[in-house]
Amino acid sequence: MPFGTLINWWRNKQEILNLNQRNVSFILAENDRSLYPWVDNKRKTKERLAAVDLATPNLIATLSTHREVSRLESYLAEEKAFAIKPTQGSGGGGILIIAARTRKGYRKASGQILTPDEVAFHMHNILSGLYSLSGQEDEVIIESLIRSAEIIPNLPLCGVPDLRILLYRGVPVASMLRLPTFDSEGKANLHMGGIGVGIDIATGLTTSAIHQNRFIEHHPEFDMSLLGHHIPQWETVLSIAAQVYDAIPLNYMGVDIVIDQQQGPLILEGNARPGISIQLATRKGLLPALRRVQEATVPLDTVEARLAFACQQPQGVAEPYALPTA
Amino acid sequence: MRNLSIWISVIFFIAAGVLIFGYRQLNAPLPIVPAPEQPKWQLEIKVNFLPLRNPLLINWQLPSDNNGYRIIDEFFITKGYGVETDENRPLIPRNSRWSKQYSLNNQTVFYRAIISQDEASSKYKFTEEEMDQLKKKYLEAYAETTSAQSLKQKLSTRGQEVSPMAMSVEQLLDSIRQKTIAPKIFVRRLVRALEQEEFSTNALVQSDIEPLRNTLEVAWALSNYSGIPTRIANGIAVSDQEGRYLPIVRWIEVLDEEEGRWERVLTAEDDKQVRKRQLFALWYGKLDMLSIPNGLRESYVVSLEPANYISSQVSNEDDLSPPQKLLSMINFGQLPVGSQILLKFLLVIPIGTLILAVARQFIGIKTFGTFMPILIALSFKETGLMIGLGLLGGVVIAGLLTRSYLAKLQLLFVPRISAVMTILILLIAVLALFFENTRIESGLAIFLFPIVILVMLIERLALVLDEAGPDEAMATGFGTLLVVLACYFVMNTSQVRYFFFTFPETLLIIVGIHILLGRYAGFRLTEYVRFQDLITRKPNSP
Repeated sequence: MPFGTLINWWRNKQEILNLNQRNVSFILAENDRSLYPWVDNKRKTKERLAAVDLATPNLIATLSTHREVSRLESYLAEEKAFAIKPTQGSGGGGILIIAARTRKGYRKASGQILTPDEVAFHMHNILSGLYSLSGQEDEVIIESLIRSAEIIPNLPLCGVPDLRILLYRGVPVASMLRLPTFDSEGKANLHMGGIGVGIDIATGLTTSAIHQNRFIEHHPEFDMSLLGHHIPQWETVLSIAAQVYDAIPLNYMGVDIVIDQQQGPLILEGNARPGISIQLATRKGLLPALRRVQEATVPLDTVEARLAFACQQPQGVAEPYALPTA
Repeated sequence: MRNLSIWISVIFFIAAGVLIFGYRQLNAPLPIVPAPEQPKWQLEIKVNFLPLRNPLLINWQLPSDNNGYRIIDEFFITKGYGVETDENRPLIPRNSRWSKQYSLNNQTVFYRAIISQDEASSKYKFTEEEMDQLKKKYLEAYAETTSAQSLKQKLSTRGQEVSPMAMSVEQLLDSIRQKTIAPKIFVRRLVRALEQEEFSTNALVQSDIEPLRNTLEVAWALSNYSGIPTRIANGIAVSDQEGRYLPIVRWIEVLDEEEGRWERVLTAEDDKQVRKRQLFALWYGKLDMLSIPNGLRESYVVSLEPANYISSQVSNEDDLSPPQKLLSMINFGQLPVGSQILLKFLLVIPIGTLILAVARQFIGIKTFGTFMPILIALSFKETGLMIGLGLLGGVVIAGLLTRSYLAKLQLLFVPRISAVMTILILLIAVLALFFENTRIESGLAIFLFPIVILVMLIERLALVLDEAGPDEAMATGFGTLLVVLACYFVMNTSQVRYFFFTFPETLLIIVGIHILLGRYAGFRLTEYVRFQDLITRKPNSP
């Protein structure tokens, strides 16, 4: 093996943020634990963001007792499509998407019909804390279903794609689009089979993609290229992500944003322990970008300054790297 | 600033561990590995009773050297009792009297001895003179016991009438006497004959004054009646396992004139269970080990534990300088055996957590639950590896099946896991019965499985199966198993257990390593695989 190759590997390795370093040097060192409830509890996130006029999906109801579950119908009123979520869930666990209410019952996104009893059982499980981070009693929140705008032209949607923006000290340092697949049953999380598409922050263009830890160029289910697309309303998306930091000043935070057909970009949730797979989606180690923020010489206390700083980044690798022969 | 304080604490802990270890080794060196020669055990008898009135007196027959074991050292933990004991002479019953003037509280006293295997003591011989004396004295003493008198009364010929029982006894004894003269063989034949019910012992067993409760006692009484001195020995089986609440084993010994010592007579019962085991007699005679005239509800617990680390020489406390005295306090050998067993168990847990931390932080192995692998490894120690793995697999599968059935019923979370747990506990109870009947002795040890955590494991496993698929569940399960095995092999190595029990200060070094590990920010081994495409990518742009 040529010596140069080894040096190159070593250089590449120096750029990658690993899990231990994320925990030790970023989450433990820089994230204020007292702020965690603002992101771990979806209801509190909503309240906090509403206070600074940042839009989140429409809240239909929050249920905190088993008794309220039996009166579900009265809370739903005229809503036909909605999402049932654990307030303190993690990693997308326990989320039930109801695409429509029919005479037979509740139709899931996959087309399966659930009886009212089954839906109530799911909510009882949430209340018992089955999906909550610490196993403690939890609440159910019911939100209106998001009708996602078309993000990649002509790509059929199977679920709601979301945009993950990684903020470091309020500066967007990496971003990816997470696309649900039929295989992932409408879930966008990468470990559940979603596709991660890396986005160049400065331009809003998709640069690279990953599915089940393999680099891809084309959608595995629809034979369409995933690269070189411009994310609609990218400036707005970046800007509201950067504003989240003013409401919840966690230094190392992931912000998930969806784009609704009518309402435009909405903040889905914040995450105090965002995963490191984003490096595979963008095909880029995070450490250079993180260090650049640490060494910034300009003040970064306004949203505008942070956005300007983020977009100056010598990110411009719109060209994908040579793919390994697949 | 944080880094500095971390280094300071790491250096502090490691230095403290090394210094204490070094200082102890310089002043009172102890072997680093357990000494291989002369197996030793620590015997403990704990006695409990309630005083009925004062003064208090315990008549306690203590063990003496016997069956190839020698008492190296002994301790009386008395709390205000005065103790007088007879001299320890091989094979001779040793009486002791523990007395105290006044106390009304619940009483607990300990007798503790270090015993060691010693070939010389098993070859011990009485001289001929001693033998004669012993025989005479013994038979005289026997004749005075109430059992002897009642037996004699039963068998005596009243006038001309000979009772049928006396006749049959005489017949039996005659038939054995004709075939043999050697006392040892006589007693063995007698025991065999009694066991095989050629002769009904019922009448003798039910003898009223001081009952002969079983064949062993009948054999004892009949051979002494025939002029062959025998005695009943009560003792324990010596094994390499730590044991509490040891059952008392009884056997019969005959005074063998050729050999010049008391010899154990093997009975049919022995053939099945005891023969291969080494026995150590605690006391002799038909009566109990101790009698407490003014006591109520007396009970005793016998524990035995391998104690190869205990030095045979007991240093004289007065010769020690004050720091040495302090150091000699760090010796868990002084604690009751029960606490020692528990401590040995506890002191290796940090090694398990170290393995776990390395597996998670350095290698990146996923496990179910944080400390679950350690708890499972600890319980495997009791069950043995193969049976443990089988049991764990069985319990998890049974739990998963129960859970999947209950999930169909759409039960709420807490009642559901409670139901799964109840069914598992019942299952374990049934298994315990099964093991008892098949004489696989490790059956009850599965109680050590942390059952509540096991149920949470099943719940989490089911969730992972539902949400991340069987691949992820298999990977995590495999990782858990790997860590369990690593912990099991390291934590159960006797050298490791010995080392941390003898040098507990070295755990401070482990604390230092844990702090370092907690700040480790490097790659996990599995991350090289996860990011291999990123690492091996070619540099084609800045």
